[in-house]
Amino acid sequence: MIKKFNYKKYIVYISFIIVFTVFSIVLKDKGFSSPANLMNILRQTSMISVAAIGMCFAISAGLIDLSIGGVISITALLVALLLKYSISVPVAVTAGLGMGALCGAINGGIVAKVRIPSFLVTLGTSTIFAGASRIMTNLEAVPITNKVFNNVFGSGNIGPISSLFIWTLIMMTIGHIVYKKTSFGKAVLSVGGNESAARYSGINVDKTKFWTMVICSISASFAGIMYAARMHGARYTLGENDVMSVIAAVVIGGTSFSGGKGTIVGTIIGSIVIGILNNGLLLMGLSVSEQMIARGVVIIIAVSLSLRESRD
Amino acid sequence: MDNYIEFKNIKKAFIGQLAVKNVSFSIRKGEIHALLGENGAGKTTLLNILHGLFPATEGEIFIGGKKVEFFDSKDAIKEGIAKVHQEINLVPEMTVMQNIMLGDEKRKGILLNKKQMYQETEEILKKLKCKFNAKDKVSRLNTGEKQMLQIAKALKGQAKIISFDEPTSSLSNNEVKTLFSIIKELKSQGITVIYISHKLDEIYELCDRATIMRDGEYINTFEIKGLDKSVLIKNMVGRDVEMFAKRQKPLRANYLQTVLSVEHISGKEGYEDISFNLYKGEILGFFGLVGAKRTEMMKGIFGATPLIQGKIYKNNKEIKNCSPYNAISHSIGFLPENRKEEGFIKDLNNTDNMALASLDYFERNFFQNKKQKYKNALEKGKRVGLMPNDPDFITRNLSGGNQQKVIVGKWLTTNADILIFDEPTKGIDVGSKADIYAIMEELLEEGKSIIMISSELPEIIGMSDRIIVMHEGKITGVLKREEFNEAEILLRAVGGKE
Repeated sequence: MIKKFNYKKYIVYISFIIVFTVFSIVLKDKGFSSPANLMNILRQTSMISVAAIGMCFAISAGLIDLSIGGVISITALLVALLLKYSISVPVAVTAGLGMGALCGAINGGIVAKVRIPSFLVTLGTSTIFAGASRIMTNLEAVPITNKVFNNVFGSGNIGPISSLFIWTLIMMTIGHIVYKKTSFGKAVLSVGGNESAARYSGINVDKTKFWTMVICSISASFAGIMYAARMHGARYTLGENDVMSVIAAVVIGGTSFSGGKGTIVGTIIGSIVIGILNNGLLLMGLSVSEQMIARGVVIIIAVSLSLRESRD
Repeated sequence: MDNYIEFKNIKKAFIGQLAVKNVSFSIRKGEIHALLGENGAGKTTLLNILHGLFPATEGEIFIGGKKVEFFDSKDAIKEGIAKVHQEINLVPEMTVMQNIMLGDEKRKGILLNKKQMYQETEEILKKLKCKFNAKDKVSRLNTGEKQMLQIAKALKGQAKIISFDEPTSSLSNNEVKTLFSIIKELKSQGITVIYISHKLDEIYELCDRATIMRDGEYINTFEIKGLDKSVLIKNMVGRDVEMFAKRQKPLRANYLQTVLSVEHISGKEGYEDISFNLYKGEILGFFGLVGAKRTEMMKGIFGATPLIQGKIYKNNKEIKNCSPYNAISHSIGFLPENRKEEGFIKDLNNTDNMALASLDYFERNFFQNKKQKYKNALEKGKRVGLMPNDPDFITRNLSGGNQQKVIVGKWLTTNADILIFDEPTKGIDVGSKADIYAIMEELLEEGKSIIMISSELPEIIGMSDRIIVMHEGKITGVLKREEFNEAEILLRAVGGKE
C-alpha cells in the first residue's frame, strides 16, 4: 500500500525549521544564531517544556489543566520559604513536588469523582491556587541564597550545557517512556481516544484521569522549582502567563486537542518553537505589547496547521 | 424510461488503491434498486460519487441521458439526488422544521420567513404521513421518527433519486415496516430509489432489481422476483457460504456445570428481576425487540452500569462491586453492540486495541512488552481472519467487519471463559459473519461459554443452544433447542405469552 506523505505529522519539525531559519536570516546581525543565544533560548524555554510534558498527558487523556500557573508559583514560594528556614534541599524539593501532587489530587479528585469537566474544575482552582500563592507571603518575593539549590536546579552549567536543559532532557525521557511504554500511557491514550471503549476494556477511567491530573500538576511544580532556582528566588507572579504557552506547545507539538493521540518529543520541540519565537521577537526590538500580538498570531497559525489533520 | 441512471466505466482511486474498478451498469426510472456486496465492496464509494461527495477518478455518469458532473453534494441535490444518511445526523435541540430547513432557510428580506418554512415542512410531513409536527423538538422523537425526519429532509428538494445506506440497522420491526411503506410510496410517486442493505430479506421484500459488487468490481444485476437467495449470496462473496447461521460442530453444552449464575438482578435502566444460568460450553441466545433491555441488562452484569439489586456468581463465587475491570479479572468479556462508541479506540493500531483489555498481562516491570503484544496481534488477527492482518494498521481505517474482528481479537487475548457477544454480526458482511460464527464454535470447543444477544431470528435460532426471550425488561421465556420455533419466540418477544 502506498502511504501518502503526511506533512501534518511532521508539522512541528517543519515549523521549527521555518521559525529558526527566518530568525537566523532576519536577526543575523543581532546574534540570534550565536551559541550563547541558542543556549539562552533553551534555558528560557525549559520551564515551559517541563510543564508541557505533564500537559501533554492531560490533553492526550482528553483533559486540560488551566491551573498550572498557580501550581508553579505556589511550589516556587514553598521551596523558597523552606530554604529560607534552612531546610535541606532534598526535603524542600520533595515538599515542593508534594505540593504539586496535592494540587493535582484536588483537580483530579473533582474531575474523577464529581465528574465536572477538567476545563471548569481547573478554571476554578487556577484562581484558588493563584490566590493562595499571594497569601503565602503577602505578595512578598522570597530570595533564595542556597547556592547548591540554585546551581543544581537553575543557573548552573555542566560544561557549556545549562542544568535547566539537562533537567528538561531527563523529564522528557521519563515522560516519553511513561507515555509510550507503560500501561498507564496506553490507558491515558485510550481514555482520551474513546472513554466508553476504554471502560468496556476494563480500564479504570476515573483512576486514569485522577493520576493524569496529578502528573500534570507535579510537572508544573517541577517547572516552579526550576523557576525559583533560575531566578534565585520566588514570587507569586512566576508562571502567571505560562498556561497559554504550555498548551500551545503541546498542540503545536502534534498532540490532538481532542485527546487520544500525542507525542512527548513533539511537545518539547513545540515549546522550543515558542521559545525561539519569544526570543526572536524580543531581539527584533518589538515592544512588549507588539510581542504579545505577534506571538498570538504566530501561535494561531501554527496551531491551525497542526489541528487540520483531525478533520478527516 | 429504461436506463435512467447510467454509470459508465467508473473508477475511483484512494491513495493509489482502486476502491471502484471500472464499474458500468444502469438503474431504471422509478425502480427500487438494491446495491449489494460485502463490506469494502465499493457500494458506498460509488454512491458517494453519485452524490458528488467526491469526483470519480475516471468514468462518466448519465442521468436521463444527460451527462452529469458534480463538484460537491449541493450540485447533486440541485439535480434532485438526495441521500438518507446511515447515521442519524440531526440537531437534537432544534425543532423538526428547523432541522428540515437547516442550511436552506427561507427568507423575507433579511429575516427568516417562518410562515413559509412551516408551511413547506407541514406539506412534506403530510406527504410522508409522519405522526409528529413541524414544531416538535427533535430530541423528543424516537429513533424511528428521527429516521423519518431524515427522509423528510432528504425529500425537501423535490428529489427524483433518493438513496438509503443501511437505513434499518437501528430500527425496530415496526419502524422498519413504516419505512418500507414509505419507500414503496416514494416509488409510486415515480422516485427512483437506491437501497444498500446487508439484509437479504429486506431486499426481497422491497427491491425490484439488485446490482452486486465485489472488491470494487461490478459482478451482475439481477431481477429479484423468482431469484434464489443462494445465487445472490454466491455472487456477493464469490464462494459458497452457508446461507444462515448454523452450528457446524456437535453441541457440547454441559448442563451439569453452571459457569455463570445470575440471580434476581434489576437495574434502573428498566430490567427487572432477571435470573438465569449459563452452562459450560453453551451459546445462550437472548432475543427481544427494541426496548427489551437486553443490552442494558448485560451491561449491568458486566459491571458497566450499577445494579439496584441481585447477585451474580461466577463458578459459584459471588462477583462483588462489579466493574468492567472486575468482570474482566473474573474472566468475563463483553463485545459491545456499538463498535465505534464502545468497542475500540480510534487512533490506536490493531496491536494496541487487541491488547487493551490485557494491559496487566503484557506488563513486565512497569513496561509494556511491545514485541509480545505485536506477536499476539498477529496471531489473533490470523485466527479471526483479519484482512489485512497488519498489527500496525490503525483500527479505525478497517471495514466494519474487520473492526469487529479486532474487537473479538481483544477478547481472545484476555482468554475469558465467558464471552458476552452483543449483536456480534450487526452491519457486517456475510463473509465476516461466517468467520465470527466459526470462532464462536471454536471457543466452545475450548470449554468457554457464550452469551449472544441477537435481534435476527435466523441467527439466534441457528446458533443458540438455548434462547431466553425478553420483553420490556423481563424474561418471557426460556426455550431449549428442540423447542425453537420462530412464531413462539416472536410471540414471547412481543409480550403475548409468558
